[in-house]
Formats: sequence, structure tokens, C-alpha cells
Amino acid sequence: MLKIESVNFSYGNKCVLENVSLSVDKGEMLVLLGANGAGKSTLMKIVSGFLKANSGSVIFDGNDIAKKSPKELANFRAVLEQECPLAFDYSVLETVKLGGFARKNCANLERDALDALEKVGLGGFAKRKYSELSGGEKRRVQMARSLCQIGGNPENKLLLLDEPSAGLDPMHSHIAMQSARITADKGAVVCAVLHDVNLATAYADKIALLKNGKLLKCGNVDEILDEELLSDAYDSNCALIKNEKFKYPFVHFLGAKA
Amino acid sequence: MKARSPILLVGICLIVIFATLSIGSLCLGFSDVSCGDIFLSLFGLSDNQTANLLVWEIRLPRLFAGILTGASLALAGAGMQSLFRNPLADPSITGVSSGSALGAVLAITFFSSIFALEIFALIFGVASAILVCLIGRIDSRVSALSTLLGGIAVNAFCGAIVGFFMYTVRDAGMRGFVFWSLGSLDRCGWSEIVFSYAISVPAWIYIFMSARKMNVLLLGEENAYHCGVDVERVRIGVIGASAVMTASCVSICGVIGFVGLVVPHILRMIIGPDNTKLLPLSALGGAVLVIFADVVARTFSHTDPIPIGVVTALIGAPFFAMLLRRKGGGNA
Repeated sequence: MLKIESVNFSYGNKCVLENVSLSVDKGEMLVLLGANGAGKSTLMKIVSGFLKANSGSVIFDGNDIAKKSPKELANFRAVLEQECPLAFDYSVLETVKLGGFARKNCANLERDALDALEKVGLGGFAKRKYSELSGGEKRRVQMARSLCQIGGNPENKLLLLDEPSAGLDPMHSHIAMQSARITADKGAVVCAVLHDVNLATAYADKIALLKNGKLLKCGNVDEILDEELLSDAYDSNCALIKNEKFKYPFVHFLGAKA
Repeated sequence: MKARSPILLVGICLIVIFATLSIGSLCLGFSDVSCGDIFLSLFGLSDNQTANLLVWEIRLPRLFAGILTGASLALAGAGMQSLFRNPLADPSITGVSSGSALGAVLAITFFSSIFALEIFALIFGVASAILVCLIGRIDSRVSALSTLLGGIAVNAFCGAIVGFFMYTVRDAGMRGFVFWSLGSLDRCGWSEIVFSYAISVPAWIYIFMSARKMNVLLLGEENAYHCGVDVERVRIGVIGASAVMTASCVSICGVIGFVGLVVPHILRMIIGPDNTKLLPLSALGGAVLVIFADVVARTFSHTDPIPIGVVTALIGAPFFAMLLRRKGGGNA
């Protein structure tokens, strides 16, 4: 359903992405992993349509992302950016409802916004001022805005999450990922950038490992859980610790490679 | 978005104040004509030639110029503040005011024909805004920060040339320019006003129609794009509309400061940032401030009227400071 084909991108002379190709099926969640500067967020921006690739293409459900207008894109894909500083002080509900800007029919907007707030654990926060929230709560409001944009029927939609767990405590990181998982299970494609490998293995169907703008490997969780591969991706020794409580081994990074 | 409770109250208050001030603006002044004659003349029922002249050639054009100027400057200010996500932005940020001032000083220095000042001020004002947009264009996108910095550069450049002319040219017209640079409704006739309304009203409509898009822009450029806003188009459109509104005001009334900054800011503190409500109330609030300033300027000094820009700043600044203190200066 989502096909990224031979994408190349550079900022000036600095090559950031080199010949990246991968695909994600309907109902799947892809997690992009890699060290800082690996090109994960840039790839997300290209998939979102905000940046245009120097070459290559991103096709979602038969639509060439680069050829769609912002309004057309907003009707089938939503994005949670790394940062979202709100300039003036909206209420939480007003902020979430901004996700419905591109809708042709706003009849269900308020209900979808309230549902999205429930999903991220902010059910009673609708009338609170955005500026009065903590950093983690603001992050969850922005997550709710993205979910509101996806709406009540996520089928054939694309949800892009750039570090959805950033600034969140462990419980709310799981709540955020669970709502992303539910969105995928209802027929959407979800792509998330994460730094927590264990969070990725808990929720992803596929994981793409990027290093220096190149795709090291894209596969299911079993294929990615390889000490040598992960050590190479992060330039850090790592150990896989098996525990019967978990479906997958726990990944523990031990520090820079000698 | 759900209406906030003060919106209706603020709207009603502004309409009442606006109506009262408009009547006051028509009736107040140093003349022997009574209010009754003023009203009869307004409805075409008076034979008093002085009253007819006073109403139709002096006070009514003045009132309409005040409404136009206040509404346009406040709308342009609200637009700039939303667009640049900065409560300190005002119409001068795009270099329009200083560009118009440069056009005016060139017209005063080199041309004496009718409408030269208006045309030059309009052309130079809009040209400055275009120049600022070109400076702010990086990698085929109009960057907010680069546009702001470009505005500072253009303002400084135009200001320097204006200063040079004012320093070197010993012309009696320069006193007129000094007065004009502080704002005045004295020289507004019907022809100038019709000209300015014809230019400004389409810009008002565009700004009103962009209100929801500007709401989403408050999330930042990337998030607004993801929500479905064509950021580039809205930015150019709002800057263009604000430039046209500001330049057309400056061309007939001179540079009236503070209205574009303070009116939207004060209203945002009271009713919130939703542009669908903020923009119409800002237009009304701007008109109220300018008409009030004009009434004050005429009431206190009839022989040599105080420049209106001085009055708007003298009234607006303390009120603004008081509100900032009460609201904690916060993230209005």
C-alpha cells in the first residue's frame, strides 16, 4: 500500500538519503530505527509530502505523494511532527480540532476530537488551555490532533509519527503506541520513528534500520533482532536478553564499539 | 470552534462604542452648526449650506477614512501576527509603512501633481512588501524568519533614505511630510477614500476568507502543511493583502502607528486567538481606536490638530501596558 522506491535526497551537497526503497502493506506498522542523523525524520518528511525527493517516488494507495496538494494529502494522511510550538493559546479541544481543517464535512469533528483525546488518555482535558499543560501532555495533545485528522475510519489512511514517545513517561509511551497500533489494525498504514528499540519490537510489524542515509535492513522483528546488525546501526555494542515474559528479546546497548 | 463567552459581549460593546463615536465624530468640532443640523444634513433634509459642507465635505469623509484606516491596519496587524506567529508583528514588519513613506517623500520632493503622493506611497509600499518576500524566499519557500529579517532590512534602508531627504531638502513641503509621517485624516477627500476602499475591501475579504487557514498556521509551517494548508500560497496572499491595505491607508492618511500592533493583541488577550472571531472584531476595534483618536485630536486642538498617530500611541500604549500587567503578559 505504501511504496517508497529508490528515494534520494540531499540538503545542498550533503546526501541524507541514498537509494532507499521499502514497502508497507495495509494494516501494518513500520518503525524506522537508526542513530541520530541516520535520515529517519527526513524520510518521514518525504513520505509526508513536505519535502520532495531529488529522485525516486513515494506511492500510497496508488497516489504519488509528491503530486498531491496539501489539502488532498491531508484527507488521507496525518503527521505527528517532532516539534509543535503553538503560537497563541488555544484550548486543548480547539488544538485537536485543527486536525480536521481539510475535512469537507465537519459534522463529526468534535466527536472525533474528543475520541482522540480519550485515546491518548486526555479525556478530561478538552477545556484546558494548551499553554498550561506539561511537555508530555502537549505531546499527547498533538498525537490526538493527528488521530483526529485520521478520523473515525482509519482504513486506507496513512499515519506518520515522528518520535511519538518523545517526552512521554513509559506508560504514556505505551498508550501512544497502542493507539497507533489500533489505527493500523483498523486498516491504516502507520510509520513511526522511534529511538526505543524495545518499544519498536513491541508494536511494529516491520522495522527499517537506517544508517547514514542508507537502508541497512528492512524486515520483520525477528529479522532485525540481530546483535551484529543493531551494533552496526548504532555504532554501539548491544546484547539481546531473553526473558520469558516478553515475546522478543530485550535489546540492551552497552556503549560505543571499541 | 466554540464561541468563548466574552466574544458576544466584546462585539456588542465595540458596536455600541463605534456607533457612539461615529455620531460624536460627526457632531463634535469647532463650528456653530448644531447637532440637529448635522443630522438633517446627513439625511439630505437641511438647507443650511454650512452644515451640508461640514458634513459632506469634511466630517463624513473623515469618518470614513478613520473607519478604513483603523479596520485595515488592525486587520493587517492581526494577519501579520498570525502569519508570523509573533504577537509583536505589525503591518510595518513587511516594510510597507517605510516603503510608503519613502514613496511619499519622493513625491513631495519631486512631484507636485494631484494624487502623486497617494500613487507613489501605494507603489513603494507594495514594492517593499514584494522585496521583503523575495528576500525571505529560500529554496523556493517563503521563510517566516527570513521575511521578518528582510522586513527589518527594508525598513532600515527606506528609513535611511527618508532621513536623508528630510535632512538635505529644505522645503516647506517637508513640514507637511513630517505631519503626514505621524498620521492625519485632514487631507482625505471622497476621491481618495473611494480609491482606497476600492483597493482595501477585496483585501479585507481575502483576509476574512483566510481566517481558518491562519488558525492552522499557528501550529507552525510544517504542521499547517500536514493539516492541509498551502502555506506558501496563504503566506504570500496574506502578506499581499496586508501590504495593499496598509499602503492604501498610508497613501491617504500617512503612517498611523500602534493600531496594527495593539488592537489585535488586546482583543486576542480577551477573546482568544481564533481568527474567525478575532479578525472581524479587530477590524471594528481598529476603527474605534482611530475614530476615537481623531475625535480626541480635534477636540483638544482645533487650530493645529495633533497628529493622529501621536494620539493612537498615547491612548493605546498605556491601555496595552495595563492589559499586559493584568494578564501577566502571557501567551495571548
